[in-house]
Amino acid sequence: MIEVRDLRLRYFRKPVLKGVSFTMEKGQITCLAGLNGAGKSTVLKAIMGLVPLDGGSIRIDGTETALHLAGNRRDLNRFRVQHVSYIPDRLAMPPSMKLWEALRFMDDFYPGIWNGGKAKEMMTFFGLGERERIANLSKGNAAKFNLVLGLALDTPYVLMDEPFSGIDLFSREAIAEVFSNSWLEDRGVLITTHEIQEVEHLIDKMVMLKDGVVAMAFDSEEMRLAENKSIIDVMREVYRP
Amino acid sequence: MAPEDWLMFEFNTREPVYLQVVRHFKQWIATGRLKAGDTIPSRRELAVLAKINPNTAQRAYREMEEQRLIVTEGNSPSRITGDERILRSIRTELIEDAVDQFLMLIKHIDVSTDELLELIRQKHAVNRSGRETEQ
Amino acid sequence: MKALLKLIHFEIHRFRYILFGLMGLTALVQIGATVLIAIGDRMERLAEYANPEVVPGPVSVLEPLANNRGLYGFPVLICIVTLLLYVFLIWYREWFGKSTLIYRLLMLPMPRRNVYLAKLAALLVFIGSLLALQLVLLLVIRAVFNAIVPDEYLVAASLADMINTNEVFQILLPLSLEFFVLFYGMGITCVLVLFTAVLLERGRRPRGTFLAAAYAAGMTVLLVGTIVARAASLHEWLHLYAYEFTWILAGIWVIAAAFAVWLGFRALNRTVSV
Repeated sequence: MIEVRDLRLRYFRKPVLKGVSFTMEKGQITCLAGLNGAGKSTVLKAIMGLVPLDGGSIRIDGTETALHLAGNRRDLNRFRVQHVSYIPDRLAMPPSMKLWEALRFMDDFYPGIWNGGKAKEMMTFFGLGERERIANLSKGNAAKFNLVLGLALDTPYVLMDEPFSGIDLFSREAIAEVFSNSWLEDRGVLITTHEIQEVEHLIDKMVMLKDGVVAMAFDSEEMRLAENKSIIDVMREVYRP
Repeated sequence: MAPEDWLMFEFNTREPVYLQVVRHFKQWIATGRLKAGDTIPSRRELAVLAKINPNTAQRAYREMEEQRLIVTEGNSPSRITGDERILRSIRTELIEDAVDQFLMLIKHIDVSTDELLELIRQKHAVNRSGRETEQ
Repeated sequence: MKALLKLIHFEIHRFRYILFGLMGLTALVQIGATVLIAIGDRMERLAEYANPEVVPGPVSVLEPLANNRGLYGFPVLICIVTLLLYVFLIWYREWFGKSTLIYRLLMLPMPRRNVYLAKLAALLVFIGSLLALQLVLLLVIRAVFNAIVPDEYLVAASLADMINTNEVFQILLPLSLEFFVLFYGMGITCVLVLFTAVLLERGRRPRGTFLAAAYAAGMTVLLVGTIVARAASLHEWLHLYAYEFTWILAGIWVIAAAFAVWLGFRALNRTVSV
């Protein structure tokens, strides 16, 4: 379980996160929702240690990993990377590299964590050619390759930042398939997305950010069972008073 | 059933997905796509085939086990129940659901039961002969 | 350790074209200049052969070097400026540009200080290889010059003499160990301070910019201050021997270097932001 407690962050004078708390479990798909600029991306980056916080705690399987609390711990970086795979909204690889070079980079730098077999499977599934250059990939293919780089790491948790952003319909469908198949098996997934309709039926838990805090967190099936409301219905209620 | 037959489209997002999965199974049973004793995919396999969340598949199977639609013996794959009573009751349940929906739609229209029954008799006959020529 | 080596290789690999370019430029200009000058000299002597009253004097490779300091020094200056820029760019390139590689570097399964160390090591490799190249080039220039100019007029020139013809060489390839340690120690300390300043600046705005500016200003005052103090012979006022004072000032530089590294590591671990 990843337990996020009382995250606080101010950007210049403006408070962005005012005490965000929620949990995400292994084996579940959790979706972090919020309006533009609500801080969803920031929360993910904070969990991954890429953005320092003003306060709060981030516990991954019980171990504290927030930069301001544990930043000097010896193996913090490796611990975090072994447990969490973060897929940002852009490719974090040199654009001059060819895809096979990037795959080899991952194999080289992530021994024991990188799963080359899974990577090959995913490349085939997405129809990506290894000889392509990263700079020449279409937006859809770049997003797919980004997923390969992130999901082929055998980590118990996966964070995805806007995996569907700005991609064509067919690429989005392919990416949505990832949520039902074996590459996400038993892993805890936290995604942020604007395209809720793409994945509404796939989400286990919703966490809704509003005004810097978690306004609502619920199990999607229970919401449907108990109140006959879709996730989008609840979002309408929460985000438009 | 072929792999693509397991795909379920257009989920209603206001109703629990797992219940919709159960309903799909019931429809397949009622229409004969799934027969008594047929093996069904594992939870994981169903998730991949139907493109749903594995937890949803899990919940659906649990619900179907509780309703005794499927049986799982030990580590073997689950199968559709062989119990005729249950299979028949599914059929009845689906027909009743359809009738309930139909009646709700025409609730405010002034029509006698006899007129309704005659209309149904005509339409149903057309349906049946159509189905027979298909087969 | 293996992880660090892989990272160093990665840093060197991505800079290789620029490095080869700098090496090529330096070699081209210096050897080219030497060839042209030597041929010119040879032509003159052959022409003067005809005139029995003029007796051409002896010459060594020191002459073209001393007379064309700007020409020989120019590619070296380009290398220095490029490397100086890269002290900054080696970090800033990770944040700007199409790929934002900083995400990847901060998410590698190794202590973050390896990223700092790898960039430092790569920079040292670049500097070292260019220096080695320059030494080799001096040998090549001498050989080329001696091959073209007629033997009768050649005078031997030692490498040391060659270095002394040009202030640029004197600074970069100091002949005494003391000066070597002094110059390069100070140079590396400056690189470390700049690295740390950049890392501080890359913390969350606005604090990052402020901290970096304060740190840079503070270190500049301190380090330039030591130079000024030494130049102004402050040791007399402090009742110290000159050499004692120099050691103390050198100690300040060492502490500054250690502090820079410590602060830089800390910035990477705690305050750096994507």
